[in-house]
Amino acid sequence: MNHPTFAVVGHPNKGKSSIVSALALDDGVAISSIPGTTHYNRSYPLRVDGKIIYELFDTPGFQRARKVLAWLEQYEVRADQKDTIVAKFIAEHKDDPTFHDEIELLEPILAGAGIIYVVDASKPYSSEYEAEMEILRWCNQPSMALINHIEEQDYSHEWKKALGHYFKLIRTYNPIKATYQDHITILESMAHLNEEWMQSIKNSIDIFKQHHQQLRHQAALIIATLLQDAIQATLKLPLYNEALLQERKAQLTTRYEEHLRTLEHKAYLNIQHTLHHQNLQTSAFDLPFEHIDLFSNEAASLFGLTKKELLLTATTSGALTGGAIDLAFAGHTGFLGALTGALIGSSGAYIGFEKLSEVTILGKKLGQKELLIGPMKNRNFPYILLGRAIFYTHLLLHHSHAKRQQLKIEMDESFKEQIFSATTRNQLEVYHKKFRAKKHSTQAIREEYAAIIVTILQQLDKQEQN
Amino acid sequence: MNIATYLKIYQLLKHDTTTQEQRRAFALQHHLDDRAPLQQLIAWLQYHKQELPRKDLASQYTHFDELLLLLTVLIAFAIGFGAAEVVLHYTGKEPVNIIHFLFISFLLPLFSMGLSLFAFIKPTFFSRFSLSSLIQKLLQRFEDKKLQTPFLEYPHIFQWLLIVRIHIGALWFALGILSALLLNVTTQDIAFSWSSTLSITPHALHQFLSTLALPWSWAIEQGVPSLSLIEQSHYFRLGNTISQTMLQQPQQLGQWWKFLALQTLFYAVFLRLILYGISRYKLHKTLQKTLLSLPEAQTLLHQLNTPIIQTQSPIQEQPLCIDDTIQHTPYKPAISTHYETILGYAFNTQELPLFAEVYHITAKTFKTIGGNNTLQEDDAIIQNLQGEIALFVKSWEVPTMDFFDTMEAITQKTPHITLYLIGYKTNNYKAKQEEQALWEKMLTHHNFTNVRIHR
Repeated sequence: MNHPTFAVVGHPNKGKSSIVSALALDDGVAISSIPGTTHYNRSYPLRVDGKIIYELFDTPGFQRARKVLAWLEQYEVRADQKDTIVAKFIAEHKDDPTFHDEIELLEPILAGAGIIYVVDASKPYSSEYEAEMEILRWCNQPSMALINHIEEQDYSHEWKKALGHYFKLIRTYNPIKATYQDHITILESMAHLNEEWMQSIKNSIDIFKQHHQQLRHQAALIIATLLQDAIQATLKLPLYNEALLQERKAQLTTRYEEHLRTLEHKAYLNIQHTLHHQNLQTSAFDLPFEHIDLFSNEAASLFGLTKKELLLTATTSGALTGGAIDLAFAGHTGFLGALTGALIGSSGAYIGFEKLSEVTILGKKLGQKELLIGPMKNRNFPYILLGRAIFYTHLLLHHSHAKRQQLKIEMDESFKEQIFSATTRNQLEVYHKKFRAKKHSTQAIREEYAAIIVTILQQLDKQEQN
Repeated sequence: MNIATYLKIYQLLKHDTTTQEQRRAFALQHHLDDRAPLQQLIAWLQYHKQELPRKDLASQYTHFDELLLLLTVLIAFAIGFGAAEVVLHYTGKEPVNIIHFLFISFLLPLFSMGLSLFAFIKPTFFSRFSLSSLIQKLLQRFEDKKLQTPFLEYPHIFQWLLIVRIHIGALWFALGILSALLLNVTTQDIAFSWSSTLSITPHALHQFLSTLALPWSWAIEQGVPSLSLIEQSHYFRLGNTISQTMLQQPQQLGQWWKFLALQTLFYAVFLRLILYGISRYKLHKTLQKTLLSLPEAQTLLHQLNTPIIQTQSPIQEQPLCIDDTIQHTPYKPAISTHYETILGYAFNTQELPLFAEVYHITAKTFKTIGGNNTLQEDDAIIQNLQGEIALFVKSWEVPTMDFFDTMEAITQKTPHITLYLIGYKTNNYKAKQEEQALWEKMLTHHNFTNVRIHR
């Protein structure tokens, strides 16, 4: 093999597949509490433009380690020749179902893969693992041990002492709780297993960083498109009988709300898919926030702006627009432009706080009328939608691909303060205005809006690290 | 970048069905430089142009445009020529007034060039005129109805196209004037004069014309009308007679043609060429900018230049399933409190009496199997087994085939085995419910249904 490969091996049910799932960003890796879930070795390559940079192999757990070791130890050979005996074992037992799992895990190692031996240090150390570690030593390949903690107990101390006898490097890695930075740290450790792999693994670290940025950018673009589509959405309903006006209005409003929910749901699925969480457990047609209604006051207060914040943002934004006119006239307007802009901005925000959008009646030929709802007039709604989307994306970005439980969304009011500072609100309001004015809504505008979202996500990452 | 290339790329992008992988492969194969997005698009066009229909948008437009251009050139030239003929019409009774000629060859072009300069600042200025809308509608006829119109969607392109065409027309108009002038001065003897109701002194006119002639006066002295020529050619339309001053040196009156030709060449043709060049350049830039801002182009460029990073396995894993439909044998609770042997699988021998005490059981002997034992050691122990056996196992460790091999060997010696799942000390050495369930499942799966599990 021209590229580095690593075989993730160990006793059954110690988290090998979880580790592979987390490192490969693949939530399709079969993980189960039932031992023996992994029955064949499977490759998870990091590929860039089709070229493999490195490969991870998920393998079945050792099943008959003592028997394999007993077979190997019948040959007395020098240390440098022990791997040939392992190769002989594989050759002689290739078709023997008794040693199927051992063959599957040893083959990639004999083909040149570095060994990553996984143990669960939430369970006490036991001498039964020594046969496995001894077999791996026979393979004569660079090796490291990864200490996982499936449960809360910690027996790392005794494990580290034992593992030190067999492995060059020992690292701790919890695939369920691991952050992006932990991922990078493990890759850096893997680079040290073999000098020849150093450059390739360093390249792969840069690639992962690039990939992480790409994913964040793509998710941000999806959110930007969602905001634009939601703000610009309109729906029509024919009005055959004016006596039914109120009823039709209510019907149209309900459809409009449902349409917005659907837009949001599709965007979230899109984000899931983009971040490689295709198998993330969530009900098919439910919103990710099942217990919070998009249009409830609770949602508004959690992610939207308060009236005070909205008025301040709208006033500032209006004043800036009016101020531009004052500037054009070199101040001869007596700054009436800024004042007028501020008044218009604030009154628009104040009046439009409660309603989502107006339903207007359109007259058509031959007396037929139709009702039109949209585009979005409510100044606060974009912040609600944006806040939810950023919250969800941030959760997914930090959700390990090894987790198989349903993602629990627990909203926190302090999140709003983290993402919507006064400066950010002013920046966002400019783009919300542009989205409302359809003619200015170009790809370039969406990209710029997405850039703000990326900045917010990066700030959230920094806050989490601190 | 010309309009044909723009339209080809535009049409190609609208109909493109290539995948991200294909696009990226194309970029890598052709070593495209991501700092030159326009070159990337052109390379893309070169590679995929055979996918365009025979009568693509570009060929349709080019055909129409060539026709329109030819008409513009002919008409403009004819009008220029005709207008010059009118002002240069010399019957012999009256000299030709150069003011009239200067109007069409200097003032009119300068005025239109001034408008043009204004259009450079605000290209959409011309959309106010109905002629512009008419031409836009004409263009629409030749556009693919299935596509979004490449011009109406991006009006800046159309405006610059119009400006360029206007300059071509104006240029040929000026060439028509120049041709008429040269033809007339070659084929007939024309007496030029200047005449105006305004009180312009010859000296003032001389200064004005010398200023106009600055661009060529350093090279062609004869191209600057002298003061004496100006004085001599001042024509007063009084009594419809030629003045004596003019008749003194009639051959001088024809010398104006050099100035007239040179000023036409410079102000109507040369300056127009410059503006034409600038407008071509602006059209070129607008086409580039518009092309690069097309959403499809941006997507294509992004996919060409972004490495495809994949970390997942290409094949979906099919996990080994344990059949949950198999009925777990209801285990009878252990009734023995005394066993022949207590075995501990992967335990130290010293720990076994402690566990026995916890479960209130006794045994004649305590032995350890599995763990660090060799297979021969295990065999030796198993061979001597008889009677009721209690087997202590670690509840938190899932059983492997090594354990089941051992169980197989034990059950062949004696069928009376009771399994005790030993949990953590913190749980009073009792197994958790999920551990118990897992062990039961595994034992059933491996057909050890007769083995009793202590609950």
